[in-house]
Amino acid sequence: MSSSSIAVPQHRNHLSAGIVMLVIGIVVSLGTYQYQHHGLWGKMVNYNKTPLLVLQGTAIQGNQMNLTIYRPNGPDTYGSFVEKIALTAPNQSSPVAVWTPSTLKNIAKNDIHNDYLYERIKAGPFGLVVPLSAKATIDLPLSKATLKSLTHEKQVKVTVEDVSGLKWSYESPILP
Amino acid sequence: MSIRASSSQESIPMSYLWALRFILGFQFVSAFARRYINVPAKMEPSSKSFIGAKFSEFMPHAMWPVQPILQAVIVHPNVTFGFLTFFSFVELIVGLFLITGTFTKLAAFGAALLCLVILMGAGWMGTSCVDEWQIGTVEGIGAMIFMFAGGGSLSVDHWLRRYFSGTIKLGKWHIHLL
Repeated sequence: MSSSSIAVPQHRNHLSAGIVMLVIGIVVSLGTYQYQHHGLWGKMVNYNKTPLLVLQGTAIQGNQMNLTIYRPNGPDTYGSFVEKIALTAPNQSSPVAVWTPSTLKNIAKNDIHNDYLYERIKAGPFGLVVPLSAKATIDLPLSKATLKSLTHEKQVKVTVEDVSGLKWSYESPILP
Repeated sequence: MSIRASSSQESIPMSYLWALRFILGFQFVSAFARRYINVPAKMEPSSKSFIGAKFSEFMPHAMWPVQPILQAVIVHPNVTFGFLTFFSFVELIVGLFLITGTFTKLAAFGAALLCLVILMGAGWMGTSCVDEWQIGTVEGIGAMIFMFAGGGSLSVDHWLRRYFSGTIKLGKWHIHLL
């Protein structure tokens, strides 16, 4: 195609191809920029930066807590690390149960029920290792004393804390 | 000689796009090479480096319909491996075809589709920058330009055109592959 072309229809074709490319380019790039990063309006986010643990689905049933942990946010290359889990009843100042590294490291593999194959929650030497996109339900037995203090409660607050001090809480129902 | 009294040039030589076509192609070829030559453990399901794990990591904020597809893929190890192998070889072919300018427009279409899928799956990632969004948009739009531009004279297409028009008819559509 020479630049000295005087064929008008050819020129029109080039123009419309350019416009098609420009429109697709703008829609795809700005659309994903807003959807994935909130880059055009709202507060900008980076889901790949700081870990977030979602505890939705956690419940107390029978003599154990079925703790559900899902990590949708944070770096893909490393972490995160759960160092402490606590249960707090509504009208009691001190937690009714606490799990620390010395108990978390001993959680048996069979008590961690992972949803996915490749990124899995497991017990490390100092707590639970929770990779990005991992989801699991962890069976944590409750002591008789804990169960007794929860007798008349309908729900209890579960708090999960990571090694940096970040905390996530969830009001867990106590199922009959 | 132009009859238009335009001050800006509306045509550029195709040779100006050769460098872009090379690097776009190399992105795909190198993706294949990293898995099969540089670090073969990436294709070993039992390895810590297994690349199938990336499908899992993309999943939390992937866009529809990539998210439900990933969710289904990562719970079936055979599907994960098949998907990964298929993707890798498509990347190799698309990359080689772009670099050599073979079926340039068709290869560019493949590249644009791959980029769109990667953008919709992983565009939210990048720990300190919007890395994957930049990769997906720039490479995808770059590939789209070659769907229109084709390969130019430094391409296998230039030679192929002697034997084959490069156009196929699909219903009322005329599709240019070269």
